[in-house]
Amino acid sequence: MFGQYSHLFYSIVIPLIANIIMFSTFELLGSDFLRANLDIILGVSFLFAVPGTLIADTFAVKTGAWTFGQDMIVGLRILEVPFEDYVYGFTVSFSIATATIGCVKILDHYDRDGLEL
Amino acid sequence: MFLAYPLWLLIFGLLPFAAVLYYHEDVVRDHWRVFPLAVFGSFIFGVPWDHIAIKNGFWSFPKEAVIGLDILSIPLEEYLFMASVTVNITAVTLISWERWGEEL
Repeated sequence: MFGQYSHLFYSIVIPLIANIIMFSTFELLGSDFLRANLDIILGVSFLFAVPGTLIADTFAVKTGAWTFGQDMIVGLRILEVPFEDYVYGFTVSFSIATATIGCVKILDHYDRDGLEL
Repeated sequence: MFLAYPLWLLIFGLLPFAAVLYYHEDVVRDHWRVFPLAVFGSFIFGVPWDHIAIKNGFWSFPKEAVIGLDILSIPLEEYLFMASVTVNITAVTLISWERWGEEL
């Protein structure tokens, strides 16, 4: 649908939708806990996106665990790993780290006050 | 490479979580309820995304690299990938938050 930008497009748009939903939902709890812990979320995202993707995806590409559609990627590679995969690593890690902090907060809120917002 | 994907899951999915359990078992125990919630959330977004990606040829899996069991046209290994990546990112987030994060 988006040609060589397809992989990049979905790597940004789907996590973006997930994050908008999560931030909106968690903000209903009335505190800025996600923003207060943004450094943790960003740190974890970079950790998994850069060294994580580099090591794990290089292994995957070299062993042929999975392959990428050549028409779906821009073609820029860093150590054999397509650039899109680093973006994917960052956006996915960001979403999961956000969900994790949000879940801790929701569970903490639930333990103290039940389901009342 | 024969069964490269299960090998990847063993090295980059299972071993890191085993190390987390060994060194930070207390963090996992204290926040165990976060893990199934995070995995459930990742499946909500990850399964449709993966379905679109595989159907459109963003990525594919050589026959010899997987065991060959598909669920909704997605190899079993992909579900294990989603679960293991989520569990490891969740664990590292919790460990980092316990050490450096702001109180909720």
